[in-house]
Amino acid sequence: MPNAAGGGYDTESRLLQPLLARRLGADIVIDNQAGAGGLVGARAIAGARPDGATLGILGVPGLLVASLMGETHAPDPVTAFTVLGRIARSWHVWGTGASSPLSTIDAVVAASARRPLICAINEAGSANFVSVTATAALLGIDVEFVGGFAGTRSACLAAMRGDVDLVCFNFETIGDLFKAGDLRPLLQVSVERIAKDRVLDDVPVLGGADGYAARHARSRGRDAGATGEAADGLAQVMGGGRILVAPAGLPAAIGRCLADAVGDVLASAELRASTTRVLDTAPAEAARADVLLAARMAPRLLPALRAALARMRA
Amino acid sequence: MLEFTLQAAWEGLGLVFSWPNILYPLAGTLLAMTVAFLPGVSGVTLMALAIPFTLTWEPLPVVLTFGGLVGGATFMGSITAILFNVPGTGPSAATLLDGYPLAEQGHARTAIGCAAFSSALGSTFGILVLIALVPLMTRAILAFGPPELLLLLVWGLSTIVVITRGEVVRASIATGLGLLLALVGHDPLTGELRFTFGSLFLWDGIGLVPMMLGLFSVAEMVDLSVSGRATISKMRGAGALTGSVVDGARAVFANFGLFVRSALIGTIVGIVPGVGGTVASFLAYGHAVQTAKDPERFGRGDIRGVLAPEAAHDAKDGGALVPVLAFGIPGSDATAVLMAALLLHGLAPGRELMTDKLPLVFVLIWSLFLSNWVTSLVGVMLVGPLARLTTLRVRVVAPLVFTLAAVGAFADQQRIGDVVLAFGFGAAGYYMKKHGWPRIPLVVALLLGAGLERNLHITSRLYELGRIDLTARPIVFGLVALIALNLVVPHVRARRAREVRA
Amino acid sequence: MTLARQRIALTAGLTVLVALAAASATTLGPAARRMPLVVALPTLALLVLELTRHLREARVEADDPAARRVETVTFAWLGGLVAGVWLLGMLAGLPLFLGAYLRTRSREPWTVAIGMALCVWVVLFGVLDYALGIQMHDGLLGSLLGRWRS
Repeated sequence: MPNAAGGGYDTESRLLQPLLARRLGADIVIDNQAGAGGLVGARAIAGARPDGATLGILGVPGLLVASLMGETHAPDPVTAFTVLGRIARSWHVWGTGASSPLSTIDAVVAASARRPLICAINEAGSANFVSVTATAALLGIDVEFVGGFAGTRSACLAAMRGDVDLVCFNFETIGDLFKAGDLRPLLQVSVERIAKDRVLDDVPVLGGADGYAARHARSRGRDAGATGEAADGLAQVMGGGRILVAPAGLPAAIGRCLADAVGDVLASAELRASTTRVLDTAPAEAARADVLLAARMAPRLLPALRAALARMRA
Repeated sequence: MLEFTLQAAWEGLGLVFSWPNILYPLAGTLLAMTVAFLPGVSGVTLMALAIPFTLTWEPLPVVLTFGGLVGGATFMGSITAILFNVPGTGPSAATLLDGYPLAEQGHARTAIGCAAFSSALGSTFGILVLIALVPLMTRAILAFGPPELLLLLVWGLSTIVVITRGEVVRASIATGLGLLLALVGHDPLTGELRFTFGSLFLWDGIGLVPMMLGLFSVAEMVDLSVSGRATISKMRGAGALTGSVVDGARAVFANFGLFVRSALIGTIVGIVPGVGGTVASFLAYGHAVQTAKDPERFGRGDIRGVLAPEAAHDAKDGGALVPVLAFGIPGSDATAVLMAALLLHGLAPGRELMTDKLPLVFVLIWSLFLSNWVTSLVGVMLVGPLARLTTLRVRVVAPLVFTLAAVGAFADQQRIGDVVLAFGFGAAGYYMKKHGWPRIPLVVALLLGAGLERNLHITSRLYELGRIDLTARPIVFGLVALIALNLVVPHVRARRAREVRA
Repeated sequence: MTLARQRIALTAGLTVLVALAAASATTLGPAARRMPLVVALPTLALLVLELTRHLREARVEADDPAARRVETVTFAWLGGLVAGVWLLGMLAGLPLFLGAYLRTRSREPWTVAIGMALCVWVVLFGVLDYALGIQMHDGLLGSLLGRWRS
C-alpha cells in the first residue's frame, strides 16, 4: 500500500480487504509503505517476489508522470506489474472561484490573450500540473503557476478567495465544492462526460471528435483531428485510474486465479454497498489495455511539461 | 442562524448523552487512551484500523466512536511527556518543557492534575467558541490566506527565539538548522530533490516524531545515566513525592487569565487551516513566558508552562473541526483519517454537512468534548501510580525509554531508518543540552519550515502577479504588530530591569 | 578532550554541516536553492561568530573522567540497539537489547531482565503487530533467512 494509514488509497484497500480475503480464503495484511508520492510503495510491490502473496494498489497517472519527470526510481506500470483489475478512475476538472469573472472556458481562452492566467497547484511535477500544462498547450492558453499549496483544498480556497484564476483537480475530490457553489466547473479533462451530476450539465468536455479541443482548433484554422486526438491521449493518461496489481512475472495459473478473484470482488454488489464513493471498476483485461494505452500516450505530454518546468524553476 | 445552530447543538447533545449512544464515545476514548500510551502510536493507526470494522454501521455510531478516538489519543502524550520527557505526540513537546522539571522535583501529581484540568477546560472553551463561530465559518477560513499564514508562522518562530532566555544567537542558529532540516526532501515548488543524497528515505523529509524522541527522550536518559542520579524525581519512595492533583487544578484558577488567553490562541490556531496543534501549544507557551513578570522561572518547572500549552492544545480540537467540516482541510493526521471515515459514510465536508446535517456535526463535537473530559478524569484517577513511576530507578527506566523511543520512531511511519535517525538526534540532543544549546527552536523550525517556504513562495508569487491587495487584509497588519511586539518587548523589558537595578 | 574543546568541536561540526548544506544547495535550480541559501548563509555567519567566541574564551574546565566513561558506554549500548534492530529486526532486537542492558549494565536480576524483555515483546507482537497491524521490520538477517529458505 503506497500510502500512510488513512491517506490516499488506504481507505480503498481497507474496503477491499475483507471481501478479497473471503473470496480467496486467505488472510490479508495491509502494509502501509508511504513515501515519495507513492514511489516507495510502488517499488516495494514491483520488487516483491511474484508468488501471488504481494498485491498492491497503484495510481497510474502518478507513476507515468513521475517517469516523465525523469524520476529514475519510478517503476514502469506496464512492465513491472501484473494488472489484476481497476478499482476506480478519476478525471480532472478545471474550476474557478464562484465570483470570478471568468465564468466559462471561452472567457478563460479570451482572457488569456490579454494576460497570463494564474493557476494554483500543490506541486510542480504532480499529475494535475502536467494535466494543466498539456491542456493549456492544446488550447493556446498562457498559464502562470503558483505552486506550494498544502493540499487540494488549500488551492481551492485560493481560487474561492480570488487569489488565483484556476484550479484543476479530480472531480471526485472537488465535486462537492462545485455542488456547494463555492467553485464553478469550467472544463472536463476527459473524453466523455465525467459523471451524471447536474453541475456538469453545461461544462464542455476537452476530448472526443467534437470535444472542446477539436472545436477550438477548428475555429483557429488548425488541424482539428490531430488536436482532438492529443486531447484524448491526455485524458487517457490522467484517467489511468487506481489499479490493483501484483509484481510482474507471476506464474500464469496464479495470475489467472487472482485476476478472477479480484474481478469478482470488484464487480460485487457488496463492494458497491459498502461505500458511497464512485467506483469505476474493470476486470484485468480491460484495465491492462487502458494502462497500456495511457503509457503509450504519456510521452506526448513531455514537450509542454518541459517548457512549463523550465519556466517554474527559473 | 444562531438560533438554528443552538438548536442543532442541543439536539446533538441529546444524541450523545443518551443510552446506549454514550457507550460508543466512552469505548472509543478508553481504547485510544490505551494505545496512545505508546509514543509514536497515535490514535491515527487505531482510527485507520477502525474504518473497516465500522463500514456497516449507521453514520451516528460512527461519528460517536470517532469523536472518542480523536479525543482519547491526545492526553496520554502529555502524561509521558511529564513523567519521562517522552512527548507522545507533537503538541505535548511543549508540555515537557516545564512538566518534566516538575516531575524531577517530585511534583508529577501537580503537573498531571494541572494538565488534566487545563486541557478539559480548554476543550470546553474551544467548543463554546466553535458553537458561536459556526455561522461565520466560511468567512473565518477564507480570512486566512497565504500572507496571513506566512506571518502567523513567522510570529510563531519569533516567539520561540525570543523566549529562549538570553541565548538569542544560539536560538537563531538552532532555528536556522531546523529550517534547513525542514527543507530536506522533495521540493513541492519545483519538483527537485534537496539534500536527499539519492535516497528515497529522505524524499519526504525528516520526521518530527523520531526527531523529538531523539532530542528529548533519548538525550534526557543519556544525561540521567551520566548524572548518576538514582531516580527521575531524585526520590526513592512514593512517600517522598509532593504536590497533589488539587494543587494542579488550583493553579488553573489562580492563573485564569492566562488560561483564557491560551485557550483563545489554541482556538484561533485550530481554525487556521493546515496549522496543527503543535504550533498552538508552543505559541501558548511562548505567550505565557512573555506575559509573565518572572519569565526566568520557566523551563525550570513552572506550573504555568504546563497550563498554557495544555489549554491551547485541547481548545484547538474544537477550532480544528472548522476547516475539516466546512472545507475538508484536515489540520492533522487524526482529522485526516476522521474525514476519510466520514466520507465513507456519505458525510462529505461542506455546506450540506454544515446545514442539513448540523446535528450530526454537533454529535461529533460533543463526543469529542466528552472524550476530553473522560481522558482527564482517567488521567487524574491514575495519577498516584503514574507519579510513582518517577521513583523508578534510572538504570531500569533508561533502557526502557530507549526501547520505547525505538518503538515510537518505528511505529510512526514503519521505517527502520527513523530508528537510526532518532538515536542520531539523541546524540545531538545530549551534546546540545550539555553545552547549553536550546533544542526547542530546532523542533519548532523543523515543524514550521515547510509551511514557511510554501507560503513565502505563494505570497511572493501572488504579489508579483498583482494579486495581493494589502488594504483588504487587516489580519496582516495585526500579525505584523504582534511580530514587532515580539522583537521590541524583550528590549524594553531588559532596559526596565536595568533601570530598576540602577 | 576538555569540555571547552568539546564545545568548540560541536560548534565547528555544525558550521561544517551548514557550510556543506549551503555548498550543495548551489547545485540546485534557481528557485529550489533560494530558501536553503536564505537560511544557510545567515546561520553560517552566526555560527562563525559563535565559534570565534568559543575560541576566545580561555575557560578550562576539567571534564569528569567518570562521566566521560558513562557517556561512551551509553552511546555504545545505543549503537548496539540500532545495529541489533537493523540486523535482527524489531521483534528480536528490542527485547534482546532491553534484557541484555538490564542484566549486564544495570545488574538487575535475571527475572527482571527476562520479564521486562518479555513484556516488550508482548507489546510489540501483541499490540503493534497483531492488534494494530503495524508490520514489524524483519531485520537484515531475517529477510536474508527468508530468501534463503524459499
